[in-house]
Amino acid sequence: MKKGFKLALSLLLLFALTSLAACNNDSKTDASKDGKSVTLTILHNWNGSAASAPKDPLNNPVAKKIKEETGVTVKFTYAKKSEVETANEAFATGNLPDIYDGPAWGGEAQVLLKAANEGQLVDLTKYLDKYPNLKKFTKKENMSQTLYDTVFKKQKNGQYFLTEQYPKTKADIQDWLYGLYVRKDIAKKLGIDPQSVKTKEDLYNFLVKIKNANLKTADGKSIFPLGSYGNGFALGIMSQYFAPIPGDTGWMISDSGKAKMNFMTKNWDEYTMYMRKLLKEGLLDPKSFTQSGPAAQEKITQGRYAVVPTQFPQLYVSERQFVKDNPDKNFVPLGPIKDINGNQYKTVFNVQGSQLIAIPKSSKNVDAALKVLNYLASDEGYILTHFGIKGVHYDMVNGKPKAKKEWVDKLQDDPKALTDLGIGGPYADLSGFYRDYSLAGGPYGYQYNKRYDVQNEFTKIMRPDGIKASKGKDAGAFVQDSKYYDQLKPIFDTIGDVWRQAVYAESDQKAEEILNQTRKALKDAGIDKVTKKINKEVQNGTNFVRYTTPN
Amino acid sequence: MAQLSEINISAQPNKSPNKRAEIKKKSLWVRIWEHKIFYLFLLPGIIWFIIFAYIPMYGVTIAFKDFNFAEGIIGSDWVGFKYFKQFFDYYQSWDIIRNTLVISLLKLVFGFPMPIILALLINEVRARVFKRAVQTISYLPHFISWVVVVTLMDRLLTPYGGPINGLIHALGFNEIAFMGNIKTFYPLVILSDIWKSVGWNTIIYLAAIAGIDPQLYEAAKMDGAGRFRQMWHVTLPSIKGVMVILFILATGSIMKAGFEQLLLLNTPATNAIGNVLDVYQVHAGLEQGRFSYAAAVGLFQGLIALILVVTANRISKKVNETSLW
Repeated sequence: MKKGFKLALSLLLLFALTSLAACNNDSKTDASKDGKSVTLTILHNWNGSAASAPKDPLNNPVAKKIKEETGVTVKFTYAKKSEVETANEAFATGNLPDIYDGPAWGGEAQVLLKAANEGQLVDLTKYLDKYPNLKKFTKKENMSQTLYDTVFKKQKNGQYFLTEQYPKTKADIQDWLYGLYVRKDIAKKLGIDPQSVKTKEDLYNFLVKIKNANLKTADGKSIFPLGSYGNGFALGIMSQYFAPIPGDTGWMISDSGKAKMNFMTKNWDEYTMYMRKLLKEGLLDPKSFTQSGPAAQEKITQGRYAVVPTQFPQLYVSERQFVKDNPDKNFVPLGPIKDINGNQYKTVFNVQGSQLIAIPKSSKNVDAALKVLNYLASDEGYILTHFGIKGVHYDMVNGKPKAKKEWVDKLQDDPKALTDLGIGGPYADLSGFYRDYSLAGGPYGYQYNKRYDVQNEFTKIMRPDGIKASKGKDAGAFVQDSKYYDQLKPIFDTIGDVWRQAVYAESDQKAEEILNQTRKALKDAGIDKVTKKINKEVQNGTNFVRYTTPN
Repeated sequence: MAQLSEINISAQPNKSPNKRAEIKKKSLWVRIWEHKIFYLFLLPGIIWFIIFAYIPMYGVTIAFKDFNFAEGIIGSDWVGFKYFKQFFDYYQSWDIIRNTLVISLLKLVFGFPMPIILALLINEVRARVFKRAVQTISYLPHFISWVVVVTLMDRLLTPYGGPINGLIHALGFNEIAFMGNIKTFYPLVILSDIWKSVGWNTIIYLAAIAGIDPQLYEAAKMDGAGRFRQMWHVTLPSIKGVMVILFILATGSIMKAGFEQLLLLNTPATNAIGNVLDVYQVHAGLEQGRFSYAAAVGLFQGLIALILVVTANRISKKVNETSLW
């Protein structure tokens, strides 16, 4: 009896201990610090970025070189859900990395700002003199005005952030070539020149023609005239036919200086009705706004979309398998479609970097973290993370790195050939300014890779007038400084859902009701007062951005 | 064997008055020690509840605080009912509460009787092998994740090559977009929920039915009762207590419409009737980082559930003399 009791008690204790152990996180297990070598964890807070993770996280060529130069082993962890959720969870639970790296915009940047001002991040002020490569990433001139206004300007009692991947020179401004793309073979079959589709009315008529042609895939599945990537990406670019700055919470400022948030305008009703018409008439895949990324990719690979809204790098990767199986059925630019003011080629970008970097106070070794970041931001670090190892993946020609052709050929067969080795993956996001063009004349292998020929060809079609950088304050950022922002934010957070709900509503009248209900809520929360304030600012001479192109 | 006899003796309910007085005299700890084996069985459950249910309860206070990363739950400043007010001021809060109640009530009305009916039907099956097979097959959907269920529904019901719509088309009718359709949303939510849970929920009723004294059926037979009469006059009254208890427990879930199912089934097209508290809380808390606000919504949900359970229990106690406590 006694023996049995003791055994049972021991088992119980074991149960209790393992339960408690399960509650503990393993944040300290990576804290190996043996004399000079340190292992640091980096949270790469980009949802889905694990897809570009190196195969060997600790012993890939880039990681080895970083260790050789700095004595630090870096180990990445990746966001597997929304970036805002990942950042919130990390700071709320205290399960923090040694270095944080995530998007330099949106809700996630606001979570970081909250963490900074609540004393969760290391004030870098006293360290920056020791790390000359990093100091410049805190300067106003090296970030977008919006990032400065919404994050950097609002830091209290210190300097907590670095922002990287801002273009070093004008030549380095990346044009993602956002737009509509159509399958070349389908346009040809219908006898329509893709560049003859110039207005939103032309676009509608073109989609109707595709539908009436009753096109099928090789295995008999119907082809949708217009599709999208996951969660409706990038159908939002079509709002540019109705508003000068895309997005529900973008602001329209008229020539006379009157401001209005897009969602509150008649233009937004027209945009909603246009999208409803496409949906109702079977021109737009009804799953567009709800499907996952892989589901959308499946449709592209099966050839089920005639037209897709996207950016070039995504298009080129996503159509790869389909084009391999079906040569001459690749996508080409449609239009471009004229914007709200009838401009077909006007391109004005909000030039911005992409990375917001911070060091949590719980970091094992702040100096080691900054040492790694300082090294990666150097030209040597940049070349390592973008071009790999000298003599293996590139050679130096006239003082510039030039990709080895055999690796470019390998990339044709295996797009992950380099990221598997750590080249161009998450390490590259920590490499300071974006400077592929000013440092190397172009991205890795641009001299041989067919992709860059295609990109150049598309650029000629889509950007004959070149690109310009937008200048001025972002009215959306100005709203964040208002005392009404706390009441407005919960509505802003769900405004996209409301708009989609209106697009799918049973009738136009119901759609209007849905939009108006939210407009009333915005008014009750103080949007009119904020609008008046912006109007006053405009009258006082504040220069707000009045036009941007998606990028 | 010696241990067993010890247990049997100590568990004997019929004791002499002297023995009872003797037991009463013993302190609680002595009695617990005497029946330590039973308490030992209880201990893992108690530990589990302490660690995972009671200790985290201090976190509820976050609903009354302005959560600060650095200060944590305990150190953050008290703000009273700020977040409750914010929720009730939110222009969609009543729509969300209404949706939650409608879906839960529909599930209760249509879903609650289903396992009882299935259990009664299974009980009437005489072929043992067939009975076991039906039971096992009906349990299986319980183990399938909602992700798989919704994906299957999507593939089966899609108007673009799905078999159901293929059949509808072959019969000469127009295809129906079942998913993401406001007209078919509630039926899909209810039917998929019943399909997934009905088999599993029969277990407790089948166990209750198995415990009915066979003499009652024999007596009913002697009185000339057929199979249906026996079911009506013997089986159902015998499991009434279990039904009432489960109904009381189900009322506690009225403010919970089913997080996973609705997260996956709801679309922008159905958001007007499919946005429920469970999903809203997660969006507000984790995606928007409004921890205190989400906790306030959760606490409100929990309080309503508690009130409903207590009320249902009281009514049941008065009307049926059956209750949870």
